[in-house]
Amino acid sequence: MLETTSLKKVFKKHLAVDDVSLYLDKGESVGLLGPNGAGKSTTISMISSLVKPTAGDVTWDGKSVVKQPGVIREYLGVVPQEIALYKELTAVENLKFFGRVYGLKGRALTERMESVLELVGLTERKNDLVKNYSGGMQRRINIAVALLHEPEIIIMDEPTVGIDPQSRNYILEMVQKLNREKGMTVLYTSHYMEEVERLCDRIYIMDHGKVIATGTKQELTSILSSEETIVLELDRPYPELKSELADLEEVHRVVETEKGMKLITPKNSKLLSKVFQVAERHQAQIVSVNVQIPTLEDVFLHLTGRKLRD
Amino acid sequence: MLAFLKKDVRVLLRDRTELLVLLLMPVILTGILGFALKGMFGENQVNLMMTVAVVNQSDAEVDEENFLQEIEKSPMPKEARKALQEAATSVEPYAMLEGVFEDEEVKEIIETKEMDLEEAKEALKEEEVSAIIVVPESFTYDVLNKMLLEQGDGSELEVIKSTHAPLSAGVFEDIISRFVDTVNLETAIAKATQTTVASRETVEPVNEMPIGSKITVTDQKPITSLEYYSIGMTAMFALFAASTIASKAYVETYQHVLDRILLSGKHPANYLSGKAISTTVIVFIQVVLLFTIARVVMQVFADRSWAFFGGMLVIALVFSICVGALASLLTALTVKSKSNAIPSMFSGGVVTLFALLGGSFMPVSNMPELFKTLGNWTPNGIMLNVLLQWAQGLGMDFITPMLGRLLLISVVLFGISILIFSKRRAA
Repeated sequence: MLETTSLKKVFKKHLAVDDVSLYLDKGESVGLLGPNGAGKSTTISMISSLVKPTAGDVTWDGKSVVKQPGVIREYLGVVPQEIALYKELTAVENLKFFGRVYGLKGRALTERMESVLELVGLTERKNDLVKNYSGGMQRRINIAVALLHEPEIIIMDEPTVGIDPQSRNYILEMVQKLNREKGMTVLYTSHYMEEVERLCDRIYIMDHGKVIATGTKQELTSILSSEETIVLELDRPYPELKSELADLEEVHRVVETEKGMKLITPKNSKLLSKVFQVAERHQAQIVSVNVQIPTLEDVFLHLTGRKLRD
Repeated sequence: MLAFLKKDVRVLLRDRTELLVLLLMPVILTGILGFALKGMFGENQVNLMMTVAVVNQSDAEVDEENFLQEIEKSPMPKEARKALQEAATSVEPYAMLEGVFEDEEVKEIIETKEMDLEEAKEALKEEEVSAIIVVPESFTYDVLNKMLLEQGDGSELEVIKSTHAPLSAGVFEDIISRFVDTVNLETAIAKATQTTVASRETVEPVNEMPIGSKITVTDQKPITSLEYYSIGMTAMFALFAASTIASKAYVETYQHVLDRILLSGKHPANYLSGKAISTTVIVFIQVVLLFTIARVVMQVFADRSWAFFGGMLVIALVFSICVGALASLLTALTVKSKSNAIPSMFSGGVVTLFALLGGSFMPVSNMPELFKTLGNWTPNGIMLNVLLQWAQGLGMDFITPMLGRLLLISVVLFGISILIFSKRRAA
């Protein structure tokens, strides 16, 4: 249905996207996971025909989007990371404007407006100015506009950035509904591992403009099947502790977290006593210890040496 | 296109700061400048009463006699001599000048006193007179000699103005200029007749006139300061609409609204055309509102006909189209640069420069020629000129070339904006 082949984009001398090949089948939900600056937004801009690639191609049902941007636009809905709306207008005024831009009018436009307003749960607030909405409501109406013309595929660029957990959950449920109940194909980019884990059938992990791993969640976490993660919560930061823990023979990686440290070690390494000894030497107070099975976050850490939100 | 128009008008209507700038500021400034600079426009009629000293150093009869004798002695054919003698006795340049001061309207504001030069200078110093006019020796002879025989340098009336009553002195100077103008015109016609040229169109401009002076007076209707500034400020503040629309385009760019519009499959030219049309409509509404406020609140153009206001609407429409094209150019540059610097620079500096060159702050008549020429190519300068000419009673035929210039500028600006925008999208 949608395929990119060796996509490359260079901005002046900066290589933003390098040799990215991916595909989406009809009805699939695919995630593009990576930290900020990984090249996700540039990739989806090329897919949606807004940015011309330096090299490579994007095809929609076998037709080149690079040569004929029009072949995909009619079937495509894009939810940008920004609130791409007129904040001085009401939700209804925004929907009317974009609906007309898409060629909808009369009864068809009214019906579509009602339908998307219901889907995003804003029917009762439809006559409020968008600038008076909460962040979560703005994100929801941002999605509603992209759905007005009933696209076959929707590309969402970090649609939950900066909103409260309740609104975030609402949006995630809505995306699931669009994909599972309405059969809409979804390309979802995020740097929140848990969102991609929850929503997507397959995942592409990007870093520094490249796809560094791809597969289902199980396939990706199996990269770390022989490893486990020890999560240490400390009473305060101990910078000198990190280097000494990293020097332990069995420790593959050490990363500082908000509340302490995360160690990737071989499974059943029986390393805990050594960790406690090092902590005691530095008079570090360990608040809690957790041994976890690897997550996508850990996979990213394993592949890049960095956290997703670095 | 209607969707774009509705959207742009709605967005602007909800931006109160911009609305205040576009609608309230010009009204306030028109009021302030109109009242503060009232004197510049000769509206203080009470101050125009003046006494003028006439210093006549010539003897018209002797001059005329000398001229007739000279013709008599000349070797030209008898018939030609006779015709010239008849012309000389009928022209009477000094009597024409006296006739000016005998005119009923002029008598209402000017009282003349004959004096010798020393007396007159003393009177001027003592502020007893506002100006002196010196009729030089052999004035009639020199004028007739230049006028009828094209010999000599003609004569020159000297006007010595006071500094204590510049307005009155200026009016007097204008009256004298009008007299000079009339004499020179008659000379031109006389020459054309002498050379048996039938058609008026072939009368060549006469560079060397029998009487020297500058020409400034017209027969057009006077414009009040409030009328002047209601046009000047409207023309200036309409330009801000272009930068406002371009600024909104910047917001559309960085918030990816423009991308959303382009993803709908709309051609980029539609977006630019939408901006141009929206601006045209917004500026037209703005201009009509401002003139309506000026008419109702400040009583400007109070005695004008419906046809006059109809003409104003046509001029306002053409001007609005030009500002619309300007907005599309600013939009194209803003979108290309992905920066708000272009509209900011335009509203922060270029509008002020255009207003100065175009005469929105003060009449450009005293400015260097280069400034006047540049001002005549600014949309606001053209609008101001055209409306002033229209208000002074000059007809549509007279202002059509200037309206054509506005439309030409519009086409060029829009063409450039399309080129810039297309290149941006192809990048």
